[in-house]
Amino acid sequence: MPPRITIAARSAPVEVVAGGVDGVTVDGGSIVTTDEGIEITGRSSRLRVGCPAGADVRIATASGKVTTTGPLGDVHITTRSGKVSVGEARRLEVRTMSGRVHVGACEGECRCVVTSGAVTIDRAGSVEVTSTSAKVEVGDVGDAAITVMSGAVVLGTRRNTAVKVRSMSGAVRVQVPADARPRTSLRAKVGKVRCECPTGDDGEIDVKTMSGLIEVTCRK
Amino acid sequence: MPKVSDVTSTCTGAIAFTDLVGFTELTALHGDLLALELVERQEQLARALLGANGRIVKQLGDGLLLFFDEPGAAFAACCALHARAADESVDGLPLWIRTGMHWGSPRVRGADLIGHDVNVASRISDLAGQGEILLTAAFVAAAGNHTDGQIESIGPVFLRGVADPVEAYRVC
Repeated sequence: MPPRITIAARSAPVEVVAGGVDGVTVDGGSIVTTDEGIEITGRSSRLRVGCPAGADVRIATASGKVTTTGPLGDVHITTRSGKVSVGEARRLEVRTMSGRVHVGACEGECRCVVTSGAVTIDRAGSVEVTSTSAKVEVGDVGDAAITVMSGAVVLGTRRNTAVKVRSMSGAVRVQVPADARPRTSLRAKVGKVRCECPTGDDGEIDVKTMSGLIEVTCRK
Repeated sequence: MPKVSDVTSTCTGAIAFTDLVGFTELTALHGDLLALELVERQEQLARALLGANGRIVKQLGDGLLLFFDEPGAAFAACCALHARAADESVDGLPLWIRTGMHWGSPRVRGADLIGHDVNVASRISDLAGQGEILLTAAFVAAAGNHTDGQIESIGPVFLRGVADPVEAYRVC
């Protein structure tokens, strides 16, 4: 079973590369093995960690950028202001106050808690995003729960999924597969509501916004 | 003139910060009056749910500093506050709150509490998203089995002004 790795680096950029090695390698930091797993502390201007594919990783920075490449297991990343880029994870939680977040692929649940910036998720099993003022863009997802104070939301969903979006301000655009017939509940206090796909019992799209366009379309 | 040590004592308990999410955006989008109504609704709910072991120490803009003698009561009250807030709205505007909780021994200064542990509670709440309750490891340790099956580790986090990372948890 791959080890659980905990990485803490106050301001150094952190790069994690998963796959291609059996053990854990560290460049730019110190490493301690405990009963709980492996603890790595950044001590230079750059921290690079190599680990086996599927490893569970927890990363904390104050302002350092975080980048992961290769397949990881359960990943938790918290940074106050660093940019976050995750290539591949089984399950993911990212928390940042002002950084941009990009997720390539997350097999299971992908949670992002973002104050400001932008969240882009290419593909995920399910997403839960809360944001104060970030734009949220999800390319291909199953179930989705998104709460934004202000900022646009763009979602591409699969068939038979549950989508719930709550927004104070900003356009919400949901694109469903061409043959999908979702049940819809679309409510905008101020703003247009446009649904261009036939409705039925094929999943649910529930969007409520105080101000902003709501648009549901089918992929061509 | 008395020394500071003569006029302050400490009290040990749970310190919680709760505030409205995105208050700046809220006032910009919907005006001060509606935002103020939400702040007052939050306070009304908190007063109703604090119980005998809790008190509102002070109001801080859109937030509240709460103190509880007992961790189980603190956890139950804050969970109840979030459950009630999820159903609350003012003129269609939802009551979106977040909370950070810590266990420690702040200094008592009159009716106020100050010190490092208060700062930690405040800083952990900064990292919470809408509807979230975040806990420090110190709170989780003090709470014992009161949080069993209801929390998940989010790993270490760096808090503003605190040198070492703090282990944190979120209420699921």
